[in-house]
Amino acid sequence: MKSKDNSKLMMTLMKGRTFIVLVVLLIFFSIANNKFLQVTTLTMLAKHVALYGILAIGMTFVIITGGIDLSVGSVVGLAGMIAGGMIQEGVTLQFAGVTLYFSVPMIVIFSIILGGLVGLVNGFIITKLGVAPFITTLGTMYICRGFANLRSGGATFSSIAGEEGLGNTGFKSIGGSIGIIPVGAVIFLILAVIGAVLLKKTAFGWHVLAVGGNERSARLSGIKADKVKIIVYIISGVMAAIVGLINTAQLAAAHPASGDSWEMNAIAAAVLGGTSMAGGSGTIVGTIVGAFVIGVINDGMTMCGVSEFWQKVIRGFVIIAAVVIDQMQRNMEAKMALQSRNENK
Amino acid sequence: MKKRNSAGIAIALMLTASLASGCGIVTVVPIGQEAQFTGAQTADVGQQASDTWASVAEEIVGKAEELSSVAGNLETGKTYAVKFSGKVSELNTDTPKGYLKVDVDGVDAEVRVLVGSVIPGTTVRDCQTVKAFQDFTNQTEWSEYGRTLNKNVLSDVIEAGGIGEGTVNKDVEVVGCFKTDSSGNIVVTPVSVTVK
Repeated sequence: MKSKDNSKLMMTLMKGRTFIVLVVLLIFFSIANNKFLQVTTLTMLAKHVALYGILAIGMTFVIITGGIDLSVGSVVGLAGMIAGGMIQEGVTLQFAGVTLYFSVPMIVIFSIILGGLVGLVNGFIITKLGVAPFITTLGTMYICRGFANLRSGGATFSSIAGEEGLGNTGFKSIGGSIGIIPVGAVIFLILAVIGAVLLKKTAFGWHVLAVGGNERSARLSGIKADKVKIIVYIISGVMAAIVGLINTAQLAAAHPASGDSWEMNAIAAAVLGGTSMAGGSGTIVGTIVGAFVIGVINDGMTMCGVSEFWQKVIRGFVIIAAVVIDQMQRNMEAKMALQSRNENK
Repeated sequence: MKKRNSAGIAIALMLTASLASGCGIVTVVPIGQEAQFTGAQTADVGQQASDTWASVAEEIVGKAEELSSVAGNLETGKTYAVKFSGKVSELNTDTPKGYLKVDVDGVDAEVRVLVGSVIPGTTVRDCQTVKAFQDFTNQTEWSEYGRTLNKNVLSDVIEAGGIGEGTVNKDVEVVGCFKTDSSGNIVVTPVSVTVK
């Protein structure tokens, strides 16, 4: 009986492990650097977490279906370059002898559609052509990064503010703040709520979990697995485009290398949040906590003067530890389920 | 037939754009006439660099420190404005990035003054504060600004000063700037060279 109670306690601790790690990290860094809990630092942290977090929401959907999306970092760069270029240089139609300067809402829509298109291409190749998600998205990662560089010849679009006369001002507000809360963090919160509801409270969410849990069974029960997979890659692409827009607006500049390796932070946040790389399980709430852990580790170590090289080493250990604990939790769950079945007999 | 189709598409696009323009969705600007809408002048980066060259040179001359006083305490990757005098011991023209080797009292490192037909890098641009990256639309223009400043070094300092073979074994007074690198040499891009 006592052993059962201990197992239950252990399970509870393991389920809440990411949150516990987050609290421990916050306490540790606030002791290590007394400026860590200042408003300016927390605002900066919220900005960073929002970027990784939004990417991680899309990534969570993809990973739950048993896939992976390595192209999101490059889509961040491409969406930023497309938006920056449209504001700075417009769209030139040589044959008509004019340049079109679109309003900011239109630019936002174009960029989001672009991200969705990349997701659509990923989903189509994976489901209809049967190419592994890792290879497909590795390919689109390079393609998008290439296009991002081609847009400006590798140069940066700086001082992106638009011109009143051209009707394209207002982009910077996406990177601004409402009071002390960054707009990016507000967008993150809204998307997180939408993502969580979509995953847990809608038929589509159940289909995503079913496809990731057992694709064959899902197909046999009438779920259109290909359609579900294509949609999750579109969601991931759209999230990446939104991050590209927020990042560009925050910096008021678009650089083709923006978002480089961010897919790793998104994967790490999802995995830390308990999303199984094997598919079939994961939550948006867990991913949000995971994104906070990644953000706190990154910003905390930077504030404590830890070199970027050591930061990478530590991040790597944290991710491995998270997966190992996740595996232990699953084994324990299986053991407890077996025990309770035997007791019922 | 094809031509008619293209014309039709162009007209349709123009009509759509005009409608969108009326709703504030898009502003249609004839190519190259942005200034009429923004009131801004089209940036001629080369002209800007040439116009600001005198101010740039004046700024570097004004803030230059004695090389002998900074040479012993250099930080990697930093740009320094310096002045020094010494004897030219060699003119190296092996590559277009030719240089004068100058013996400077109190400086152990090898001091080179760029005088070739090509001035590499962006040391002069990075040493000045007359114009900043934010003053330009993009990195391409910022690079162009640096390249044009280097052209001014070639025309106004090296060619105008007659710096070349005849300078060897003569004393020179140099004002310029350099960026520290891993070679340990001090490679100065000059904004003023006086041959004594």
